[in-house]
Amino acid sequence: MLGGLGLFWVGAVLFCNGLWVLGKIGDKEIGVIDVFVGTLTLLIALYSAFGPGADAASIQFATFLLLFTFTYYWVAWNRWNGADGRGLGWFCLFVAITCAPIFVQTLLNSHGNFWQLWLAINWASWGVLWFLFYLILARGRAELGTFTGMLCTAQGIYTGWIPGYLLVTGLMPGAK
Amino acid sequence: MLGMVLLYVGAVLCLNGLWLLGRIGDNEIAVIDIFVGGLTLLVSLYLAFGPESNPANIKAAALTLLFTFTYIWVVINRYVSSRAMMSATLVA
Repeated sequence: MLGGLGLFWVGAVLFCNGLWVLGKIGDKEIGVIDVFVGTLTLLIALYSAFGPGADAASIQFATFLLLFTFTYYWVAWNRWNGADGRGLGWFCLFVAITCAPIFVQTLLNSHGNFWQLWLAINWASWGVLWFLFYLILARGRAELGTFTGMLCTAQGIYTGWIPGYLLVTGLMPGAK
Repeated sequence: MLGMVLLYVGAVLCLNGLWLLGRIGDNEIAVIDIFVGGLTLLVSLYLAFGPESNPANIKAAALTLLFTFTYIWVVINRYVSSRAMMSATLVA
């Protein structure tokens, strides 16, 4: 259930960050949602790792969730520290590479489960998106901005908003 | 818990290496050092003072803090000491 809570808000932050990349939200404002969702996912990760009932699976969940927590905080932080963003870009490459084995493992362990297949597609999607962030921020490929912004907005809808809503309402097929 | 710490230690070492090579700016590297310093600090505190505290976990906490303090020190030097130009010195 905490996964649904996190995913729903990951949907919100990706949706808004995509619109920001497309120039529809101002540089001074986008940090707000990044801090909100960064903090929410941080709390979920800390509860999963240190809270009651923490086990190997919940620590794994916390570990991977923090990849996103740190990205969102970093986006917010770079709005005021004057950084050129290359550090965030390299971190995004780290996230993108990490997404690859998670995608493969999730797919291999899905055994046809609808939600697990969706989750595997999510990991593949995030890996592609974070790799695009790397190309733009660390490699200066600014021409990829429009496509990345549109992809980020779309991923907010299909990797976060919709599955998060289905998970928290108990409507997701195959979810425990 | 060890796996979580090691993954992010991997991230912070990769990024600090890129920073020493001049591929990440001085005003940005502190971000990942704060994140991973904070995370390893929390894990150390949990191991040392949490419900599963025992001699082995306290030892792990003591040794993990070696890295925590290094990362946080890098951050502090970015902000309080213009003379501690670690990257400039090492690259030069």
